Amino acid sequence: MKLGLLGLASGVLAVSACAASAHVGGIPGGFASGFFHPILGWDHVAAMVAVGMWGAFLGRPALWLLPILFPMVMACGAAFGIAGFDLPHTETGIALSSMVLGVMILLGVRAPLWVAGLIVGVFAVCHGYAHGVELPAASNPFAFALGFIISTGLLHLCGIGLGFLLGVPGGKYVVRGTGAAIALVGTAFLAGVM
Amino acid sequence: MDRIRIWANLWAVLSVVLAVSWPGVAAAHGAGSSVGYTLAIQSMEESVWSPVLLLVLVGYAILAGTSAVGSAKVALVFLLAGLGIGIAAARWFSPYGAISALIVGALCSVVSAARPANPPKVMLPVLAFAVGVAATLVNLDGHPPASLPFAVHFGIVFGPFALVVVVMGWIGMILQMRREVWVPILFRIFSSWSFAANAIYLAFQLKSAGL
Repeated sequence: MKLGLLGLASGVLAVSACAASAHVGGIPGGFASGFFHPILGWDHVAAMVAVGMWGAFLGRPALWLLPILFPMVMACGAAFGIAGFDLPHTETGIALSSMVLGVMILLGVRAPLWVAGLIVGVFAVCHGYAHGVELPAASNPFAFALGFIISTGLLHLCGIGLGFLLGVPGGKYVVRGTGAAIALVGTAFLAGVM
Repeated sequence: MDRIRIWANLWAVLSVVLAVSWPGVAAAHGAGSSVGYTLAIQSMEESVWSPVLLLVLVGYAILAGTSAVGSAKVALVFLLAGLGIGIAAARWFSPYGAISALIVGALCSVVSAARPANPPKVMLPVLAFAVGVAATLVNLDGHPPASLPFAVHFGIVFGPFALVVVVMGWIGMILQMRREVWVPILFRIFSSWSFAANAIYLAFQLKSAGL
């Protein structure tokens, strides 16, 4: 029962994001801007929640390894962006991340740990790079970075919470349905509809 | 209760040393030019309130706090040694203080997040020493050893040390009181966040240094 409530709460939190894309417009400030930046874009919300959900679906140790791996690799991607390296097709990679991870959850793919880590790592670079390119424009880049890292981590936790629904009767369908929704969001971004 | 007793004793000893060292000479020369006890306390406070130092010290404290108590105690001695030796090293390595501190901090966080199954025994002391030296480099910012009052040096050494001890103590207490399997995992997740913040801040430092 507790697991079900946790999953439900996570779901409500995750879908409370506004429909704006995360990479439109300038960045005004520090921690709060960084914190809300990933939450205010469906492309990021879908991917971050999907990472947590897929981890929960795969079980231990992926349950905690994927949410640990993602911010670390994402930071490396952000460092590339800050340094001014050119990484093409990052927006496509971000849209693909939601689509691929959503499909993984929908089909219940039990990939080996290293494959799951590789997939999540590659997409984390895209997400990090997109943030990193925007970071130097923030008035307090460090606070902005801290905000988006914590917010990203909390979105993973939302995904893990949703994944706990697997432990309640009928929860499997909710989790797979959410995976389908995430894949749809990714497809919509890829097609340029959103 | 071993962990709690160890940290409480360490903190008590530190407080007594500080209080006995400068009795009754606080703020002797008016506002802004305080000496002795007040200056040491002020220096301790200022020596931990920069983003670079917070990242490095808290990153290391998470690593040490989640390690075995015995190895963490030994590492504290190395931390203290590093903080002291950093005073002598500051004049040569000052331009790269923040960068080296962030590299060390990132290393601590990545080790803490990855948590290898059989880490080498020297890992924790070596990292403690490196953290100590780097923290002092950042704090002294190129000042030669004799150019600052002794109280400032005291604060620079014991401020970061106290922060590490306190954070380690909190983590030790949490691990002692909550035995659930997710508690250590939570600290590994925090370490991954710490690594991410370290890496991004390092990228900014490298960019601003033109490297």
